[in-house]
Amino acid sequence: MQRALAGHAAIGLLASALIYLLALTGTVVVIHDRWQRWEQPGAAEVANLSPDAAQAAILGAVARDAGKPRTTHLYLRMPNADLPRAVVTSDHGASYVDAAGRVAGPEAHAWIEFVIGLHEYLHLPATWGLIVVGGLGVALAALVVTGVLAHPRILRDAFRLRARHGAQVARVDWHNRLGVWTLPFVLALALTGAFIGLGSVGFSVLARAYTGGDMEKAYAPIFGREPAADAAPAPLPEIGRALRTLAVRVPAARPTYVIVHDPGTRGQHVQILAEHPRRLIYGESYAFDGRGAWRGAAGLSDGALGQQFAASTYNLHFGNYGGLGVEIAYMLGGLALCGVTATGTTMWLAKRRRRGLGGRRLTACWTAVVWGVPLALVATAWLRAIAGPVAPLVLAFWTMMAAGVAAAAIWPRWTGERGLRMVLAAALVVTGLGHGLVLAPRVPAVLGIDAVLIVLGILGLFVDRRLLTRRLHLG
Amino acid sequence: MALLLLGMVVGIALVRLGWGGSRGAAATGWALVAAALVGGGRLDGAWGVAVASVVGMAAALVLVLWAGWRSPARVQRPVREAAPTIGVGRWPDLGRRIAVFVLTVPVAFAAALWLAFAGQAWARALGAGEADATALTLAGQPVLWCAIMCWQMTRSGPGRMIAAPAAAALVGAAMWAAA
Repeated sequence: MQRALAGHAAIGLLASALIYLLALTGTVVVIHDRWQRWEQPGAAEVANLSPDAAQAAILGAVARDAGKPRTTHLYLRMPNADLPRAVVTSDHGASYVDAAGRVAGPEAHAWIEFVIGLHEYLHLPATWGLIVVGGLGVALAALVVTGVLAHPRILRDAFRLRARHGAQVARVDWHNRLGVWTLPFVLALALTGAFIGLGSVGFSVLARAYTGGDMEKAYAPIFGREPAADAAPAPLPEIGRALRTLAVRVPAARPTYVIVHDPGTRGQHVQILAEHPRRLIYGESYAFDGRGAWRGAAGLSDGALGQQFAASTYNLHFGNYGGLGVEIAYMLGGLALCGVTATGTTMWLAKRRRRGLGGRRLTACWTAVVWGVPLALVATAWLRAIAGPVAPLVLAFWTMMAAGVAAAAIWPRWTGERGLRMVLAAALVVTGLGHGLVLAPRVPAVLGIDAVLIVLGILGLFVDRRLLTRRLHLG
Repeated sequence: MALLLLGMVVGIALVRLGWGGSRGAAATGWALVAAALVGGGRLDGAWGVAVASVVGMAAALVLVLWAGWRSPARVQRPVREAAPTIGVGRWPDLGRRIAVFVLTVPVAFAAALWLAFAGQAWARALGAGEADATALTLAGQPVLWCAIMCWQMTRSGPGRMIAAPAAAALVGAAMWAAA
């Protein structure tokens, strides 16, 4: 048990700051579609996009890109309840389209894209970032296992949370209680995250062993094969016909993306990703030729078990398989993971100080990370609002974090946990109020986010008073 | 499905009622939780199990947060803190820490990847399809890495951490040879 506890602490120390960052950004991006509406509340919205409008959208995107090199792919995101907006994307940019398929302004949700990038690859070069994040998923899963091994009686007090006892008792209870009740959730999240992050390594090894290094052929058993390319020019594909064919052949399928590979060439082909209701898979991939004629399904919904398993890991990780209710539960679980991570390292630092091993500066640095990350995320949202979608959000975030941690190390007395928490609560209230007053959104879903930000901020102040200031201090 | 989810919430509530009280209530609660998971699986497959699990977790979290909200305030005593001792705990064994990192991250990663790859080759030889063998590599690598890391981190020193990745590499080699 002692060795399990030591191992648990060692893994936690190795990875806690980055796991905390991933947990917090993951909590935010669960509702990334809703954040996109919040970030650009004035963009064109459509409940449905007809096949004719979809056809017009890709023609419009090609016209928009006139004079630029031919795009290798065209993506048409179909509207749904979470994000009732259609977006057409090429190698040269992304635009919203209206109900008739006309290009209606640029997609510019730079802030939520920045947060997604932070969660998926920590803003490192994409492949390396995914591998690092996948490795952190493995470390998190190992923390869950060693945590259970280190606390054999962890279930005994499963419903006891002495939140208003002394700080150390409260921290231990928060850590253990939240850890126990989110255990299956965190394990599922950690392993699916590791699966997604480390997938490129596995595919690379399989490609070297079986397909002569050809990655597309290595992906084929899971995601389906692509036809051979032919660069000779050809008219753009008939995606409207493909959408109509799909509606007849698989009426229950809800198209989420239409992807045109090598558009404007004789080798072009159309892929439609479509959700299947009450399934964990992210969707089925349906293939069509350039004239919109049916080729078949990849088999993600009814093919080999390995295909269905692989296709199910994404939704299980991102929490987008059961509507707003599941999304809220995922956010609650994500916040709980933030709490478990934050209290775990804080407990270790407190133990270190009780033993006379110092660590005042280290404690201040950890406080700067725990409260600085959400503050920096709010600050980048303001920067996006002031400087527009071209604002250097990545640079600003990491500069703020580096400066905050450095300041905490130099002036540890100034890095007060309570002060930072108050600033964060106030910042959330100002953000919600400011967004609502300045941008005046009329969509209930966007107003809902503003209201939640305000309530969270006020609740932060109130909960702080209840949980902390009513403690009696001695000495 | 709505009934099953209601059963899950009631089950968690009964588990809470039975905690430190009636064992019958707790047992009934756990039985309801299990029934909701099995029912979800039978009705809607993996989707049903996932939704039922999330609802159960959310219900338990709400009860735990309620317990925290209702917990009585206690007298807080100042934390005893020993005076810092110079020279203690300041990078005392940097070499050991680097060895632990190397063994648990790159070495364990490579051993797990090799074992997962060899496992899929073996599965192919036994007649598994290409898709299943591919998924076995992708899913096996992180799970095996986690298992090796857990084993290593519960050992008393870097020397004892070598056994797990070495065993994984040997088993992988045997599977590769058998395939």
